[in-house]
Amino acid sequence: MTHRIPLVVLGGFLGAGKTTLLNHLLTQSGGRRIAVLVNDFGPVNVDAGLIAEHDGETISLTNGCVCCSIGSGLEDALIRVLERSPLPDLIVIEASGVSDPGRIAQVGLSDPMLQLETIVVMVDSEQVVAQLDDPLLGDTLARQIAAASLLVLNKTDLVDSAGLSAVRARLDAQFGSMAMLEASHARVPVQLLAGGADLAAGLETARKLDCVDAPALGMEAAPHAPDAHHHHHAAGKIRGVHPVDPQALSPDPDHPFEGGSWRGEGVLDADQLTAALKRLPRTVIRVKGWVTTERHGRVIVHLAGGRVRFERVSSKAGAAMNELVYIGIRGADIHTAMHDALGKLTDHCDHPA
Amino acid sequence: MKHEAEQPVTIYRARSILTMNPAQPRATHVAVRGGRILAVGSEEQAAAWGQASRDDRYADKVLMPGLVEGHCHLHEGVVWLYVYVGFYDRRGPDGKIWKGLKTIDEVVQRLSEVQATLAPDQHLIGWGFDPIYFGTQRMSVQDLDKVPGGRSVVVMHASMHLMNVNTRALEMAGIDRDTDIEGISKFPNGEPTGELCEFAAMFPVTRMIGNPFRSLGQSQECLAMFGQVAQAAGVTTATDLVNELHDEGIVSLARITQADDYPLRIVPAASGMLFGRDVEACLGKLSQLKQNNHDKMQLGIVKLVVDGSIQGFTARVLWPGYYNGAPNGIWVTAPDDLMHIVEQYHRAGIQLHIHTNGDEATEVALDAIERALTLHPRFDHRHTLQHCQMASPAQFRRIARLGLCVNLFANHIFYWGDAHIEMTMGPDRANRMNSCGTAQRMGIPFAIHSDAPITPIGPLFTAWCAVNRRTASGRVLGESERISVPDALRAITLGAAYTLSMDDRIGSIEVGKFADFCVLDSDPSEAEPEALKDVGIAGTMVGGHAFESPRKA
Repeated sequence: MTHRIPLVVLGGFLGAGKTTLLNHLLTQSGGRRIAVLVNDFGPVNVDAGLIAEHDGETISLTNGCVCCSIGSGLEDALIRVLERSPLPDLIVIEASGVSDPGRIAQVGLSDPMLQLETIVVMVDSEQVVAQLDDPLLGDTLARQIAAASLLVLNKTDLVDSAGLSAVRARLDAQFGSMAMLEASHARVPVQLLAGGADLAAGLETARKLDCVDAPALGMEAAPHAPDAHHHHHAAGKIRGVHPVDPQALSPDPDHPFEGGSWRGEGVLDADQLTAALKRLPRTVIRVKGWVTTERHGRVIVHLAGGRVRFERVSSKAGAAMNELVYIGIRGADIHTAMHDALGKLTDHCDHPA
Repeated sequence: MKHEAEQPVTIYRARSILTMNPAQPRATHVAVRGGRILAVGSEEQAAAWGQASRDDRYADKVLMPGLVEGHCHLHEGVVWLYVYVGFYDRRGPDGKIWKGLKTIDEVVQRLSEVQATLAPDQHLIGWGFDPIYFGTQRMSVQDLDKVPGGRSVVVMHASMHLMNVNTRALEMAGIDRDTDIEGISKFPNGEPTGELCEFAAMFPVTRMIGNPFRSLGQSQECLAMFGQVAQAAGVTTATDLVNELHDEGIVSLARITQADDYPLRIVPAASGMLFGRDVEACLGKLSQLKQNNHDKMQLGIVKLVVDGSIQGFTARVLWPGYYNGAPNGIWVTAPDDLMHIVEQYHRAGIQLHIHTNGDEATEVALDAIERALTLHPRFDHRHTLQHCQMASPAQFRRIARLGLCVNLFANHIFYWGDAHIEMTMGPDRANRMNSCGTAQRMGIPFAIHSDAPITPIGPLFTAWCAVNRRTASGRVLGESERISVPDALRAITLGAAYTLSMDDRIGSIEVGKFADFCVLDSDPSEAEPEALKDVGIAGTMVGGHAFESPRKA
C-alpha cells in the first residue's frame, strides 16, 4: 500500500526482556531485512556464524538484518539506517530502559519515510508492581506503560497465577484497559511486531472474501455483527464491521489477536474521523485503510500508538468505499468498539446520490 | 631536539602578573623555556638562569594564568558555520561581534542578509535563538516566510531542543496540520506554527539538514573555529565534555591540537553513555586511545549523565517539584545502573564527571559515589558533579565529606535566572541555584562554567555571574551565594584545573607549569565586581606560543 518503512518501538526497563526479544527477532526474521537499533551491543547475542560484518557501529547479519548502535545518539543512528541501501523492511528501535518509548515512537508519525506500527513495552511480571511503587522509578515506568500500544507481561513463569492476577489488577487500576499479552522468556510471536504487514495481509484477505462471498461475510460470520441496516448495499458492497479469521492475519494458531475490516460510504469529516479513532479503546492496537475526507480527498489513514496520521498517496481517486482494517486483542470486543466509534460517522455523512 | 638546558630562555615583563599562587600572588617577570615556566618573580629572579632574551610585548599588560573552561563542547566550533541569531552580542571566531537581535524582525533581517550569500541548494540555518526574551510573542512561519529566496529556513534555539522553520522546510519535512504528535506547535486554525520541539518533531528536519550540530565537531575547520572563539575569551585549556571516542576523530584531534599554532589544550571526556553498562569496553577504548595523548590533548576522564535540564523541565527534582507543576523530569541513566557503572569506573581508577541538574539526580549520584567509596576506598578521586545546579546545603555537606568537586553552571543565573524564579524553581529555591558561596564556605573544590555552545564561552563573564548573581532582567538571585572577585578568578583557573586533575601543570603561574597565560588590558582582581566581564583580553600564550586576540569588529 505504501513505501513507508514500518517502525516498531520497544520499551521497558532493564531486565524486562527487551534484548531477548530482539535476539529472537534478528534470528527469526522470516526473510525480512530488519534493522534493529540498540543501546548496547553487549547483551546482543547473535550466533557468530550469522555475523557477516561488524564495523563498530553496525553489525550486519548474513540474513540481511542489521543491528545498529544508538550510543552516539538516536538521530545519528536513525539517519544512518534511513540512508542504507537497500532500505530495511522493518525498523525496530530499542528505547533505553529509562526513556519514554512514546516520545521516540512519534518519529514514526512525523517522518515521511517511516510509519509507526506498534509501541511494545515489556515489563517483568515479578518486578513490575515493586517498580511502580519505587519513589525514584515509579513515574518513569508509568510513563512507559501509559505509552504502550501493546504491553507484554514477560517472565510469567516466575509468578504463580494469583501473583499474575494481582499484577493485572494493579495495572488495570492504574492504567485502565489496555492491550496486554503474557509471555515467558520474551517469547512473543515475532510476526506481531510488524503490525502493518499483518494488516496489509488482512486487508487483502478481506478483499478476496468480499469478491467471492460478500453477503455471507456480512452477518453470519460476524459474532459482533452490526445492526441490519449496515449490511447489504448497492453493487454488493457491504458496510459495517467484518471480523477476519485470525488465520488470515497470521499462520500462528495461538494468535492472541484478532482483526477485521470496517466499511462505510461517503465523504468523512477528517476531524471527526480522527476523534473517533482516538476514542477507540486501547485494546484496538492498530487501524489502517483508505478513506475519503472533506479535507484530503482519497487518503490513507493510520491509527498507531494512539495517534492518527493521514498519508497522502496519489491514487486513481474515485468515490470508493471507506475501508479500514484493524487489529486488537482477541476477545476484547474490538468489533463492537469499531462499529460504535465509526458507525456514527457514516450515519451522518453525505451519501452519494 | 636541543638539550633542554640549551633551549632559549625568554623573559616576559608585565605591568603585573597575577599568579593565582597564594604563596607568591604577584610578580612582574616570568621566564619561559621549552614552553614551561622557568622562573617567576622580580626581574632579578627571572634573570637568574643566565642568558635570556627579553620580550616586552606585555610590558603594559597584566598576565594571569590561562583561563580553564571546565565544561564546554567542541560544538561551539560547529555553530559558527551557521548564522548567529541570539539575543545577546556574541563574538565569532574571527573576532567579529555579532550584535544581539532584540526583535524577531531583526532575526528575519539577518537571515535575509545571509541567505543572499548561499548557494541555491543550501538550507539557511540559524542558531542561538531564545524565545524567553520575547515574552508571549513566538516566532512562526509568518516571520520566517519573510526571508526571501524560497529556500528552507531552520533556526535552532539556544537549548538545541527546539527549532523554528519556515513553510518550505515544513513542506520538505512533510509536517502539516495532520501531524498528530507532541512538540509541533499549532495556530488556533490547526496549521503548524513552525516551532518544533524535541526529537520526534525535529527529526524530519534534522535528517534533511544532515544533523550537522552533532557530526562536525572534530573537523579541521570547526576545531579551528573552536580554538579561535576560546582563545578570544582568554581560554588556554578547554574540555570537550562528552566525546564519543571515534578512532579517526581522536587521531585528528590529537594531530590538530599538537600543532604549535593551535591555541588550546583540549581535554575530551569519554562518553560513558555511549558504552552504557559495558564499562569494560569504555576502559579498553580509552586505554587504546590514550596513546594519542600529548601535552595539548589529554584523554582520561569519563562523563556520565544522570538527568536532563531544569529549563527544559527534564531535570529530576526532589519535593516539592517544579514550581509550575510540571511533572518530574527524566533519568538519562537509571539510578540502579548508575550505581554499578560508577562503582566499576571508580574501581578502575577513573575520574568521573557526572552531570546532575536537579537535586534528586544529585542525591542519586551521591548515593552511587558513597557506595563506591565504601566498597573501594580511594584517595583523591576528584569525582566531579557537573552543573549540580540545585544541590541543597545538606547535599553540599555530603559532597564535602565524600571529597567531591563541583563545577557549577554560573552562567545559568544570568541567562535563565528569571525563568527559574517564575517557572522552574520558584522565588525561594531559585536563590540557591549554583551555590558558589556555599561551596566556598564548605571548602569544596569548585569551578564554574559556560557549557558552550549552550551559553557563550567566556570565563570572565562566568566569573562575573558568580560574583554578581544578576539575572538578565537585573534581579539578584541569592545574594548570600555571591563570591568575591579573587575567589571567582581562582574558580576559572586553578579551580577548574583541579577538577580536571591538571592543577600540577596549569591553572597558576608557577615554576614548572606550562607557560599558559591570559593577557589582559587591566587587572581583573582590582576590577569593580560589576565590571569584571568587561576587562579586555588582549591575547593568550599557550606553551610559550603567543596568540593575539582577533580584532574586534
